[in-house]
Amino acid sequence: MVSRTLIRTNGHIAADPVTVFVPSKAKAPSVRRLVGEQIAVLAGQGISGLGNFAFLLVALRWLPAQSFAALATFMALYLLVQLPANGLSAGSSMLAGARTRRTPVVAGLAGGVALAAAAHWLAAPLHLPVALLVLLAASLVATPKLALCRGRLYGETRPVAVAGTLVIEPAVRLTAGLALLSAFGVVGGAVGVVLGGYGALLLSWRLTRRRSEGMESTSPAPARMPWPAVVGFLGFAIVQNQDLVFANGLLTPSKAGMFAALSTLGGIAAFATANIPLVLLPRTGGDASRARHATAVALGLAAAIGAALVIAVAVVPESALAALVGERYVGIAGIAVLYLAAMALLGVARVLGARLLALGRGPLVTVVVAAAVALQAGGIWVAPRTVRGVAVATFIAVLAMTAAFAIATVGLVRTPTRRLSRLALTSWVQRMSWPAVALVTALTGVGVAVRLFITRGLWLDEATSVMQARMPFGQMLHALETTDVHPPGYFAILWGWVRIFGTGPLSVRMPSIIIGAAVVPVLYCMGRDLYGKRTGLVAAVFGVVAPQLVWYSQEARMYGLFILLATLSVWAQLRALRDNSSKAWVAHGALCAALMWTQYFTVFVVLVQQLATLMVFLARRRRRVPVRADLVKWLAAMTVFVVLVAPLVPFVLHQYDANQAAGRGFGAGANRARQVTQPGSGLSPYVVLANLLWAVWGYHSTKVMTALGALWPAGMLLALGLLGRGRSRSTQLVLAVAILPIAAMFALGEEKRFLFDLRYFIACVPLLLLATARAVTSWPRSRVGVAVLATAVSGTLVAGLADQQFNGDNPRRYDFQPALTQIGAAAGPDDKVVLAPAYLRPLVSYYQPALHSVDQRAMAGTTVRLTENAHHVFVLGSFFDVGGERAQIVALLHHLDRTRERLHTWRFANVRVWEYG
Amino acid sequence: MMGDPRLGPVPWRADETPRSRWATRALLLAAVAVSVWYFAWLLQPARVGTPVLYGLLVAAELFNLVQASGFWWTASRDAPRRPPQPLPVTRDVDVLIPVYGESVEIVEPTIAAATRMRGARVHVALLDDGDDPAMRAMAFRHGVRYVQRREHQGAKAGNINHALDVTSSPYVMVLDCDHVPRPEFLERTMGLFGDSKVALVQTPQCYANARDGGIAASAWAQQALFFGTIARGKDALGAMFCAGTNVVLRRRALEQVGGFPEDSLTEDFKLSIGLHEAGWRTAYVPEVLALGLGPQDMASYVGQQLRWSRGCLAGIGTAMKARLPLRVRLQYLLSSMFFLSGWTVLIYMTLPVVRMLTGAQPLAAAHADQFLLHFAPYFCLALGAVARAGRGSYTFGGFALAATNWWVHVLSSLRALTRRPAQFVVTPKQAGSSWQPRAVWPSLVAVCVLVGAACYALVQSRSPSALNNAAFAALHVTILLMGAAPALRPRRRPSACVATEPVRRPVAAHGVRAS
Repeated sequence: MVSRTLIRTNGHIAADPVTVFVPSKAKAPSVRRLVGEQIAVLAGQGISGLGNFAFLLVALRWLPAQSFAALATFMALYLLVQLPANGLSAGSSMLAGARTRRTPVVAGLAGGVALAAAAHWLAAPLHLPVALLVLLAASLVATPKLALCRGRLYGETRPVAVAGTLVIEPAVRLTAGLALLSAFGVVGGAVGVVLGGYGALLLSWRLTRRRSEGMESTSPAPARMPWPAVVGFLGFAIVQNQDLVFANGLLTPSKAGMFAALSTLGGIAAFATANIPLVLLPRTGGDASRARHATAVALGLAAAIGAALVIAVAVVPESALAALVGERYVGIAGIAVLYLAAMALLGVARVLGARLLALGRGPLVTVVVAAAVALQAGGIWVAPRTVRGVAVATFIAVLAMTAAFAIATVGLVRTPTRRLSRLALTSWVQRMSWPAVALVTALTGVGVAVRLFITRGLWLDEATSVMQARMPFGQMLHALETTDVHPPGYFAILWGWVRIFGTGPLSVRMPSIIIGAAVVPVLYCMGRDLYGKRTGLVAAVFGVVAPQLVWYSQEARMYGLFILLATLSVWAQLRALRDNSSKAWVAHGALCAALMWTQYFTVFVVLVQQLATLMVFLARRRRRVPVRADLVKWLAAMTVFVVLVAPLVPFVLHQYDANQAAGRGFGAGANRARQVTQPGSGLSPYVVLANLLWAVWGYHSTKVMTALGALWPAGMLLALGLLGRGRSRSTQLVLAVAILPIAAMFALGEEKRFLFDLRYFIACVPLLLLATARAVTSWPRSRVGVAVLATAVSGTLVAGLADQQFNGDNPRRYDFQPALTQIGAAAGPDDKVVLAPAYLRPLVSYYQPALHSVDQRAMAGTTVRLTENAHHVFVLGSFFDVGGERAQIVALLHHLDRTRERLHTWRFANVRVWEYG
Repeated sequence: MMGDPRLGPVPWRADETPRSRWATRALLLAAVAVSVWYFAWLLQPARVGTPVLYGLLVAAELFNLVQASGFWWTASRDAPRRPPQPLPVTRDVDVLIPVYGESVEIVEPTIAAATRMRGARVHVALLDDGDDPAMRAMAFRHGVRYVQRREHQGAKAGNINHALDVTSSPYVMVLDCDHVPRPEFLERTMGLFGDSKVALVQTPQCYANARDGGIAASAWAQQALFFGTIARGKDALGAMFCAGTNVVLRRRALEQVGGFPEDSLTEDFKLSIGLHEAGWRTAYVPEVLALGLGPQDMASYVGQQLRWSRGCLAGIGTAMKARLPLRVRLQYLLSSMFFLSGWTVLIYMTLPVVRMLTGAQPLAAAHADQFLLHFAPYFCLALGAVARAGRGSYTFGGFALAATNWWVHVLSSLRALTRRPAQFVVTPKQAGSSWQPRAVWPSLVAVCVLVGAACYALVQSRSPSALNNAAFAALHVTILLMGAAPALRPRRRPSACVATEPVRRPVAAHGVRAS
């Protein structure tokens, strides 16, 4: 048994009081007691929170928006200036009653004086009256002492006393505070807030003093403060509050008021769970079992409280919300769930952070929290200047922080004696060094940055995705089933995403960007696992700039997910075959199933993989290597696959029937736009060549592709260069999964021309990059040679990327956004837009929903008659190289030329706009 | 000798056949199918562009098809074989080691290892055509017989034949002086003489210095393909021939055909034809039982190739006239005609140059994608067959080295046609000069022509056709430069043996074939 007590040697504290967690024969607290302690403090916190909330709600109603925003900002700053206090409480709680230095108290006094002196100059940028800043300075004087006293109460595990100090604050505010508010407005309210703090200080000082008087002197010298804990909790408070400060500075007053309301609502979750980690801290030292129990209790409470609040806000009717925050702020309803979820997650993160602090991982906590603070601030800065933008940035930062803590906690709790560099989910990651982690993180960051640099608007398929994702879930599934040709996996993700993050152009592409950037570390890890660090690093570098990976990371379609899942699936299979690991086999089965839910043509990837597995088993059997155990695990993986794919089968059958009934045929699909990807008739080796060139070097203009295609003898050189090169099983499988689906799609393409398209065998891209990285790192004999070759290949990829992204002649680039912006700017309420072809409607719905649009009809005369009453007619034309689209558009223009005057023609990449008067 | 790679572990397994014989045969069948498809397309009358160029292209392609088909046929017979059982009784074997001016440091490990061979009563004889006193002293030091002759006629063949007259064991083993035998050499080979019709048992030539890279590695890549799947296939077809070293022969068979032919540049090749014609069989043990040294500089390699090509091209007539089973005759023809393949390289280099300078092209009525569609599968599967059957032993370096020496084949065949006597050298066993552009000057000229033509074409036009032909030129240039690189900027490698000046002594025509 271990209990957290001070080491006493002849009545004195040991030299290092911070680490005085020693075994004790005292009975460990039961779970019931642990829960009880937490509940007691929670109750105090809850009452305190309700009191403060009531205070703010009253203020919300009594004050005008701008004044309330000022008060709310003051409250936020009040919490901000108490940031060190939160940390001090945490640190003090870890000292368990030891006498502490006076430095924090002196610092608080100095800070208060300094703030008061600077109030005059700070008032303008903070949009606050000087008086509020002076009050803030007054509160700052008391804050450190209050924090130390309260922390001591936590450390002495006196939950009821803590609860008392928590409750007294709102009690003062709801009495004296409201009276002052009604009398003196926002300044009076602020005085009430500060008085509450002093009341709590008085009580806690009394409580701690009484205990001290009954105890002998514990130490000749004050204990050293655990600064990582102080800094860590300071960071938590910043994350919780800095968004409000930013919103107040960056948003318009009305939006700032709106965000203040949102923050008040979200603050419930953060506030409710704020003290859970402080109660936890004294209980997490020493014995692992005891710490685990205490952590589990704290985590469970934080998660439960957070989830309950999120659910409550999610299910509460809008009218109830309006009643709560006022009609003016009902606009926050759409974002309240997200923001509350962020604050709930913050509660969980604080518990995890406290656990890590108790494990002695202060530096890690500090780094992660600092990163979250920076991420949040940066996110708010680059996000749209809207309430949603600030909220989303906060959510992302908190989510990332929580995930980082969760991973670290899992790693450390399982292997508590290992270094941080070794913490990870799997053994091979555990072997990664810090520089490698840093390098891959940096490369991933660059990958994200490259992918965020988007040079084109949404094209038709993406707009269709968004249109479907905007529907209610059931309706979306029905639409997919009856009018589309894709499985619902990606659309389900997009559906959930747009519910949280909206349907802005960047937002709808973010899932693909995140997924696409994730390919970079996956390539590193896979390359490192299969071939070595150097190959992994080169593969990751290729992954950062590979044009196709970037392109499909920037498209709100399923191909980015296809790429990631296929890569992971191959990796899992290789690990399964190599290590015969059950986890790898199950992961392989699950990833294969996920592939099937993402895109139907992934079936070729899955088939090739299973065929390869079969061949490996046959080869092993021929060599008299036992395969029974492998076979059983493979069958288990396939069972997982079948179980996961089975629910998709009815959907596929209905989809097939619907397409057949609609006369489209399953292969033709609902969206004829796909035909543009392969103009011309019949497949030829050049088409294969072009797709392979696209796969590695990206999409380019016809002129560039013709020139590149003529250089096919370079392929002979490559083939000759392969002579005598070793081919491991891993490389063979990687190449098989890359190439055989291409052959299968080529065969299919003979029947249906448009099916032979890079998108449908896009899994080849990361695998070819990996194989190329392997060649680059293994063929040259010297490191210099490797560096030169890797740089050269990367250079060609960068060149390909630049041409793909910026060359307007890229055949896959469709500039609908500027075209529709042009129409939107020029068109009046009496004008009409002819969509030629008609399936451009999702784009208009997305970019210019207010336009009056008319679908192009088969007969040009019919279309023209539909526009007779319009003042001006705009024709939005595209997909000129698809089937009979060009002829229909030409016929339409001829008709319009006869009846109207052509005023303007605008040309964009693969899109044209004609204006008729 | 410390650091001598010949005394190290065996770096290669000659008995490794492809894991799945079924898959190999399927690949070979596919290669046959796509080659039929390609040639059915190529040989259509409508394809004829400029007739002369078309004729050259077809001739080159057909020649390569014949060679490829021969390879596929031979490789299809490749199969694992059980090692021979040792002979029940111990036999006497004369181990003949001809030398001609090599240094003692090269020869001594061979002599020492030969005396330690197990499986027979070994009688080692050092056949010194160089009359070197140091060699004599070394022979006495090791207690082996030292054989000299007054008249040095017939080069290596004459030297061996002379030794045959002064020795008497029923079996004769021939070792080049740089090939250090393993102790188990005779244990692994003598068992095959249990068949009284077996005249010779050949084992692989393996270059121990191949691991150092450079010319030796590339030359070894070529050797490995031959002593791997090709030799095993030839053995299965009963058509394995003597390679001049690492071979054990039955004295009675040798005596029946009159010993080693002294009128040939490739006495071993001609001897094998004679033995087969006389009804004897040959056998091959796919196990490296001796480690030797490959050429270490371009001049050495070129000299070796000149000698081999000249000798083997001369053997075409002999093989044609010999009374041999068809399969054996074809195998001899395939082996000897290989040394005409330099002509195809010349043709392939010429076609894009002509196209870029004059616009004339061999093919008509065919789009580039049609050509690619028919040619690419043939090319890829042909390469795939070599890669699979050779188990990766044949490398790009080996290919490039062979292509760079296209002119050797051209020169040898022209000399053979004009019946000019050859001048050649014994392959040096140490690295020579580090700068040997003269050894590759024809290829350097070809590079200049190709680059010049490509520049001219690209200045004239950037059309896909010009780009395509420039790409072909770049392909050839890359291959030629890769092959010629060791002669242009070779690295000085630490020699396995003590360096002496390379032996480069012209010998009379019909001299030796030394590795």
